[in-house]
Amino acid sequence: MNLQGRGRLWPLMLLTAVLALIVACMGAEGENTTPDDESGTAQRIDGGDLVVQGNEPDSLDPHWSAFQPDISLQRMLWRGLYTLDENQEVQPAMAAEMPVVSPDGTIYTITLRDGLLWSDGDDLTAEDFVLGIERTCNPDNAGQYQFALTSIVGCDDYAYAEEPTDEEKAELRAAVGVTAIDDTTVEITLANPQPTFPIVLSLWMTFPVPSHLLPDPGEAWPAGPDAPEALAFNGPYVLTEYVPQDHATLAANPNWAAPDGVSPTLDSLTVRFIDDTASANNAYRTDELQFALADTTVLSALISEFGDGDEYFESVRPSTRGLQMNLGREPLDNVDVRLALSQAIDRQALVDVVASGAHQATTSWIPGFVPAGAAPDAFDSCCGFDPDSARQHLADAGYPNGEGFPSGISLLIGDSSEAKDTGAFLQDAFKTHLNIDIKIEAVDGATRADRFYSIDYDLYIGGWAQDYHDPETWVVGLFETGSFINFTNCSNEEIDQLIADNLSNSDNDARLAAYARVNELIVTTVCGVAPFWHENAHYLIKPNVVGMSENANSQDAIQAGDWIAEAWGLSE
Amino acid sequence: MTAYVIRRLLWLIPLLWAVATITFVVMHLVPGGPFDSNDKLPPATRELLEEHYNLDKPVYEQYYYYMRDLVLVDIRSEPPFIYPDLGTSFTQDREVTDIISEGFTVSAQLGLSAFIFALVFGLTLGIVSALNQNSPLDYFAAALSSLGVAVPSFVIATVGVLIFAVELGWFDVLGWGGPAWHQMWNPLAWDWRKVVLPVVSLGLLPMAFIARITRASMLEVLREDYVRAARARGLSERVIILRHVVKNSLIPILTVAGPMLAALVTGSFIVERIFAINGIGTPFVDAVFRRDYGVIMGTTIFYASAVVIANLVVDVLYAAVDPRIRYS
Repeated sequence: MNLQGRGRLWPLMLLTAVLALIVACMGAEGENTTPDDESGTAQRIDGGDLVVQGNEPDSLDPHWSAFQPDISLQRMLWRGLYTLDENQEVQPAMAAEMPVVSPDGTIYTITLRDGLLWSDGDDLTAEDFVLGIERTCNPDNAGQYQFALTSIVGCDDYAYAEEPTDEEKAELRAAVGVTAIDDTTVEITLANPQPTFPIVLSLWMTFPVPSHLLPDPGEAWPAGPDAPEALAFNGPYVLTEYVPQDHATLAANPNWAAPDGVSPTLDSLTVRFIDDTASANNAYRTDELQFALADTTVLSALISEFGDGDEYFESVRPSTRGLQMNLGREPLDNVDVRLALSQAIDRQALVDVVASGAHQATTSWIPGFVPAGAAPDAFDSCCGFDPDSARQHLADAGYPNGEGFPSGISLLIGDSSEAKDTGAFLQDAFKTHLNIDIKIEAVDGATRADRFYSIDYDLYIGGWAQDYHDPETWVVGLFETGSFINFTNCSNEEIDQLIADNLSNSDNDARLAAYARVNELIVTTVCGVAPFWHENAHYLIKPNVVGMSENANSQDAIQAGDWIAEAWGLSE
Repeated sequence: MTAYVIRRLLWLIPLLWAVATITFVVMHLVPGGPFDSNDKLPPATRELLEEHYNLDKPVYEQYYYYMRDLVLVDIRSEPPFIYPDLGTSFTQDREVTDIISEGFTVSAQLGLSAFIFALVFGLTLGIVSALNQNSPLDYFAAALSSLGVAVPSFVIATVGVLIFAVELGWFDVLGWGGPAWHQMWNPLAWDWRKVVLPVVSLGLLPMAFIARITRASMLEVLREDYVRAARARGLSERVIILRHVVKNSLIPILTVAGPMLAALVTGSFIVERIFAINGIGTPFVDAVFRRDYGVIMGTTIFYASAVVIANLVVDVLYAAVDPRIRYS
């Protein structure tokens, strides 16, 4: 910059300083402080701009999306009939009360709260919720979570109709079991009772559609940059700006219905799209971000830098990873071989060596904090690290000291450094404790996924994250013989029977007991997976951020507390 | 010259057809598809999605549809000029043209800034080095350019961020600070806190190359008879260097500058990722990993066009720099 240019800057700088002083004084007078929910010490201010790290969503369309970055942002902008509270209980959100369910459990009658409005001032009516469900079932939209609504009468018929004409589509749409009885009453008809259906009504694929803007269920949902002008919102925030690959800026929705009494206090909330956690952590250090996901490759350094419980927080994620096995191939069809592999894995060492202690070592498929789940060490005696027992199981399978074990068994992994480290750890463990050699096949993510879905692998490092807080999301479809996402060839008559008997079981205690038994069967027979860790989330949060509690209840998608982002605020 | 340029531009058509065809074939030979990252997708839903995006059709049919849309002009387009329809992204639910144009706007600014940085500092270093051959200044310039060649951009970026942003607080870590294009020449419109580190990280390697080539080329020209003759005629050293030596040393620099500029303005995945810059590099690499066929095809065709056009510009500039070169 030349001297002449600098000279011209002085009046500008002086003006900026004066303006800043005026704004600061105005802010001090206008503060409306509330006690911080978490500590009770920090004083929440009314206003402020919060910038948090996020990941860019693939789409803003809640009726198409499947991934956490999408769901995290969509939940800030829209809300459904129900929501889950901090205890994972279903509570009314846009609905006035819990649904009235017919005696046979198939008809749900839901009354909306009075005076609901979209952010643009238009009425939010029952028809908007009907259209939301119809969009997810609509074949033109091809919603990735359509299967979550499969129990609604006609939804599958609509979604999977073979090349329907426009007239046929209209008929199929009309046959979907969701109707607006009047402006404030929605009626949903199920083909079979589903005890978890109220939970489904809290999920993104049932969020309403602003039918005054998008009347056709097959109409394309506006993309991010167009969304501020082209869409209306019924969540706590409205989208004011969307710059692809860069950020989304949100402001409080003036028509937010605040079902739980919590409304945004921030002037603006910016979700900065950053995939690289190391970059995000540097931006956190330079105060460009007030929230970042911690880089787990340098976790111990971050903990000492930011202080455990001061700015660094850890919480559980509803997710399990493990060694998946193709039971359709020899010798993995032999339960003794599978148990030998499971018992040869020192899970705590794996977590410490590969993941810098970032996760929770486990032998349970369903985490303990999920109903019907089990503690991480619940199955240690049967399936946890025990080299002697592992060798015995291998001998029982006909391979004493690994002799005669097929030499071509391979472990299919992705090309991330964590996957490669995990593969190397397991390869070494099997050689050391069982004297068997396995090959490592490192491929890129899409190839790996393609081979997994084709069940073209022997061993595979994979896992699962829950869709909602119920054990059925951990087992249904995954472990029944020949079911739609059973990619391990797990086949166990008792598992099949337990799941079939309890999908519609309204006796919740019996249902949970059945799923607990399914979890036990999965682990003890290694029916497709030997779990090795539950993932933890690691956050950096500035001390002046309030309401962003660490994930105590496992509903967070990306940021800490993003299931109730309206609670986020800043303190003095 | 005009006929030559037109002929070269016409050659673009078969070239782009070949690039598009090879990319299409290779892309479909690699296992995996755009919806494979969702491990919860029931097969029926996957089939529905594939049908929605024509992926259920045979590959040759998909090729036909793609090439047809690419070739046919869109008479409904606004503004009313012709541009190819690059289709829709399979994973982002957006038009590929939008993804490329938005990303390219940022990448081009970053790349152009890095190119100017590389050109200014590379030429200066090379000239100073050549004029002071085997002096401490020459050794210093050689060491600096060796450093630029040897150290990868991600190391420079990471170390730069830690020292100058995190420790000293001089610069920001996130985003690009370039202004709207019409304000490009207004230095006050730039957010220099966001500009310096990415530009230096991206520009150091090309700067080093330019410095080395300039030095070598300058030394060669300095030994030419016409330079000796100019000195004998009593011309000032400044005139000899600027008018005769530097100008005649530019040909090899121009040769590398064209592809270098094309590479810089079409995005850098690493620098864009480290500084969370919304350029075109990241979408392209992500598209490869996610098998987003639409974005892979669109960006490949775009990259090929950029390289061809940059080379054409270089060839035209040859004639401007060296009067002996004439195109017919």
